[in-house]
This record gives sequence, C-alpha cells and structure tokens, in this order.
Amino acid sequence: MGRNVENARKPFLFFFALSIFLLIFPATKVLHSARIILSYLLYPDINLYSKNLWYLRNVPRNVENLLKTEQRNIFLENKIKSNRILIERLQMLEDENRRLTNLLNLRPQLPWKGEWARVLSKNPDNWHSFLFIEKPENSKIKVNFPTVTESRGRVVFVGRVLEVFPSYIKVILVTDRNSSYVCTLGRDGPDALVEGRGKSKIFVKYIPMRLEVKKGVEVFTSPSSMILPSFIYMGKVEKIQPQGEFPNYYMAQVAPGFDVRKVREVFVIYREQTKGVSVEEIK
Amino acid sequence: MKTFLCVAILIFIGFCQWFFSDFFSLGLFSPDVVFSACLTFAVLQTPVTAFLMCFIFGLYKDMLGSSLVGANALVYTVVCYTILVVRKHFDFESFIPQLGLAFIMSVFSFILYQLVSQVFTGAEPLKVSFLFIKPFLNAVIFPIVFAFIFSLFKHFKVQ
Repeated sequence: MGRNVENARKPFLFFFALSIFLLIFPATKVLHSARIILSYLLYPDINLYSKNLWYLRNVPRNVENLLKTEQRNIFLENKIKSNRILIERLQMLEDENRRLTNLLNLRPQLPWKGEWARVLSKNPDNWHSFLFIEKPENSKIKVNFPTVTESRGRVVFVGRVLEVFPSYIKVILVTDRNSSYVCTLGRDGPDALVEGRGKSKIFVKYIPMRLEVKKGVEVFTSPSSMILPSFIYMGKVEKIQPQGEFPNYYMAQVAPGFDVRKVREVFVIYREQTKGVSVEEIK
Repeated sequence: MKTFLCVAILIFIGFCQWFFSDFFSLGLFSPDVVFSACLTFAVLQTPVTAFLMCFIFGLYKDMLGSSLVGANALVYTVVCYTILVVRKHFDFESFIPQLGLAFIMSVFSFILYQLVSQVFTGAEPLKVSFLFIKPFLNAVIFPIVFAFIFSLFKHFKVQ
C-alpha cells in the first residue's frame, strides 16, 4: 500500500500516449482484417447473424467477401430447405390437379347421376376390404349405391356403399371377401359371379367348362345385376384356374381395374335397387 | 515467475470473458471479467505491472470489439491510474469497498468510453441501459475475480 504514486505517472503517461497514438493512427486494413477474423473466430454469432455492416466496415473486400460468403451460405441452405418443402407441396398439388382434370375429362363417360367424394382413409387392417369417403353436403347417397373411380382414363367399378354416417361413408370394395356381384365376361359373353378374397385380386367363378376364356378378357358388370349399372369395367382376366369348386365350371383370376393404393376420389352413382315385378303387375 | 503468472492470468481471463459472453450473458450483457481483472491488477500490483496489464487487457477488448482500436486501452489506463492514486486511502481488499470500486469504476469507464468515442468518431457505441445493468454485474463479479487473482499471487508469493 505504501507504493509511491509518483512512480505511477511515468508509466501512465507512456501508456496514455500509446493509447492516443493507436487511436489517432490510421488503422490499416490489415489490423481491421485481423480484428474481424479474430472476433469471427471467438464470436462467430456476431458475424453470422448481424444484419448491419458495422462489423465489416474498413475491411478489405476479400475478407468481407469471405465472411459474407458464410452468411450467404447459411441463408441459402435454409432457403433450399424451405424450397424443398415448397416443391413437395407443389408436386402434391400438381398430382391432385392432374387427377381432377382426368375426372373432369371423364365426365362425358359418366351417364349416371351421382356425386364425387374424396377418399378419407382405408381400412388399416386390410386395404382391400373397405375405404371411407367423405360425405358431401346435402348428399343423397344411400346404402348399396355403387361407386366407381377413374383409372387410366376408364371408369372402373370400385364397390358399393355399405354404411352412411353423418360425415363419412363406408364403401365395401369389390376385393373384399364378402363382396360378390354378377359379372359378364366380355361385352357379349356369358354371366358369371365375381367375388373378392380380401386380396388384391378378384375371382370369377362359375365359368362353364364348354366356354373358353382367354387371358386378357375384360370383365364388366352384368346387365342382369339388380344393384349395378351394366357394363362398368371391373378388370381383366389374368390367370385361368381349371380346377373350380364344381366339376362343370372353372375359375379365373382377375386383376381389378383400379389400384386401391391410388384411389383418391370415387364417384357414387345414384341408383336405387331395381324393384322386382309384382304378381299384380304381371297380371 | 511474475511474468509467467501474469501471462497465464491474461490467457485465463481472456478465455473466461469469451465463455461468459457466449454462455452466461444476461440479455446483451455479461459480467466483464476483463474489467474486473484490470481493477484487481490496479489494486494489487506495482504501477508498471498494473498499467501494462490494463493496457493489454484493453487492447484485447479492442481487438474483440468493433469500435476504435485503443479506446478500451486508454480507458483502462486511466481507470488504473485513478485507482493507483486513490488506493492508499481505501482498503480495497475488503468486500464492501470492492463493491463500491467496481460499481463506480464501471460508471466512470462508461462515461470515459463514450467521451473517447465522441471525440474520435462522433458516435456513441454504448447504450444508456448499460448503466442500469453492467455496474451491478461488475460489482458482483469483481470480488470473485479479485479473490481468485489475490489467492494466486499469495500462493506463488508474487508481490
């Protein structure tokens, strides 16, 4: 504590003068560059996220470019990420647009009254059993109404309405194990019975032995069906199975005309079940 | 031994300042460990050592900052001289005078720094909000830094 203050004057004057000299001496660009690189190394956040150019003043262009490059790099990386998300969204919208355009083009092929509905979800246990569609406002859809969809420019039979709920509708698919419909093999072929097995394929049963069905024959809904409009495309014969359940008939495996994974919209046809002819009417 | 210890303290305090700025900042403010070390050297050391260390610490802060080169060196030199003048009248090794010293010197250095910036650049780099937070932070951190450096000097028997 007993140190003399007089001893402090000389060093004080020396360091004071040195500080003033540093202050008035025109700082060279090298000094500024060294400062900013040092500050960048120790406090990168200041340089990276500072929007003003206060930290980059009096700095040679090459050093400034070096630091700005990283700022720009980070900015562009973030932009690329957000652009990727936008592109994916755009692709989704394009797909939807293409599908809806196809459906609009399909309109002349739909001679029936009905309503389009979006697919909400599929049965998670088995995609080939049933799917849920949204119920349009003021919908007149009832149980057993047939549903079709668009696939490769064609109207394809999907299934029929099983249950109608206040906000959604359950549609049982043609591939479900409980589905069976009267079908016709080719436009002028005989009637048979098509049924699902809960898998991706459907099967045509009761094809008479005397009738030869070749691979590639198209299967349609039959005019004799009570609930389905006639001649809606169902699928194409893929494989012949000679051994049927009965000795006089054989079976054919049919690839359905739609891919359940790609069904996004369905058209529900307004079609009441055909009433039988009463005895009084016959009389 | 003294030189080696001073260099070690310089490096350690520099690291602490970086660490506090990055991880323990209170909003925009962090405890000014470098300033506290300057005060400690001014209180404990001989004039030459005190001035040298204060000047180097000031330059270190100038190099890290973006303002005038030499401004902090000048401010710390003046602060050091002020302490050297008044230290024989006070017992700065006690706790309460230490708090007062850190608080008053923080305000003093703030005003001085603003003056230097006004004179040489015409700009005022520090905000007035500095006065409401920084002196208190420095008053809290100074006794700790003082105790640490004092114990080092005592341990290595450096006068």
